[in-house]
Amino acid sequence: MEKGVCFTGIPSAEELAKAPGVPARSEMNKGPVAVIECVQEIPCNPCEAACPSGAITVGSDITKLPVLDAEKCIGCGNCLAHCPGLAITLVNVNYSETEAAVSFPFEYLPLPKVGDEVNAVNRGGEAVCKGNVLSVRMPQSYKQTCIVTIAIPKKYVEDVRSMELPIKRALPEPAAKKEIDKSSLICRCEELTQADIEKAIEEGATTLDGVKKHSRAGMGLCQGKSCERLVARIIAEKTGQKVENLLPATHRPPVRPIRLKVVDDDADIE
Amino acid sequence: MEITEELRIKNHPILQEPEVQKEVTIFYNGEPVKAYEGEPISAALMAAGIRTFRRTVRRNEPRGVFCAIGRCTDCMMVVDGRPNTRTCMTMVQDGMRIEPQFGFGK
Repeated sequence: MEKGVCFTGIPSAEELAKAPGVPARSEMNKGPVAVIECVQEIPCNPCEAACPSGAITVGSDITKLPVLDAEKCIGCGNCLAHCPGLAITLVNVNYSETEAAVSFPFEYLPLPKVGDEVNAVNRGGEAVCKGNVLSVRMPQSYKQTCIVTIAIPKKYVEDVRSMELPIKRALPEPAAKKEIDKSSLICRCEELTQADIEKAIEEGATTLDGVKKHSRAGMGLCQGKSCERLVARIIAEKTGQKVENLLPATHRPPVRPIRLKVVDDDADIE
Repeated sequence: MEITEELRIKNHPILQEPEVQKEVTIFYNGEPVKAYEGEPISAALMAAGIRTFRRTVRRNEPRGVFCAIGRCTDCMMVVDGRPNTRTCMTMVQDGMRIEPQFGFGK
């Protein structure tokens, strides 16, 4: 399986190594420092404004990744609460002789209490070791984002980035993942299955409009909003075309259903 | 009717406690259903344990909330006599009469 945020939601080691917001281990060893694990170029820069010491730079091109100047970082943790992607942690490698302290944003209920023993988890949410809650802070300027700090054995400092919920919630068992099969519904409005779409392609349709005219996929109430991409993917798989060359299908207004009365006062049906 | 009031969010880690809205009554197949001003019809019905909003024309399959953002049209019902109303996008009003829809509705 391919790695990285695009595929797993978890930044890979390669992505982190390239991220300009992640300080080198030598910098981390000097004291508490922000670790900005921001690896996707999206238009976002609240971290830059949140930093009181000017250690974070995104610049005027706001799709650029944040660059951390570890020398300037004072380890205040303000950026943690302001990153909408919860991508920043504060790492203090030298919390004690044997322990490191990791601070992270925690937007779940219930919040832990100081002194609690919790399961510290890695970027993928898997428990890696026990941690002790050192502080739970939510000043008004954090706008409801809570920053939790836990102490963990020093050797896990590269891995631990959050914690498990302090209580086990009775969550429903996740339903077994069902692979798409011939009977899977593709166009919900016209009630067409994978088999119906495949049949249209086998009978000669090679475009979204072709499949639509053949099978009615996309002609229902939602006008293809739910099925267009699924149909494009099936055509791409069956005919060897690229999905991006198939999209979009021909669109005609209105973009959402309206009553006929809107365009004609005399229309005698709604 | 199974009542699943706990579906309503009472405490949210970011949004905090929601403001208490005025309680209103809507009618599902003539039966009163408790709702709060400012919430969509679909939210009130789901909180009241109602999951099937309509049935489809070809396979007679049950449909309910799917996308919940007004795109998929799966949650359409007959609202105050008007069919094909997206209940996830239509806010409740006191006294509204909601009926499940079959097929394209009448």
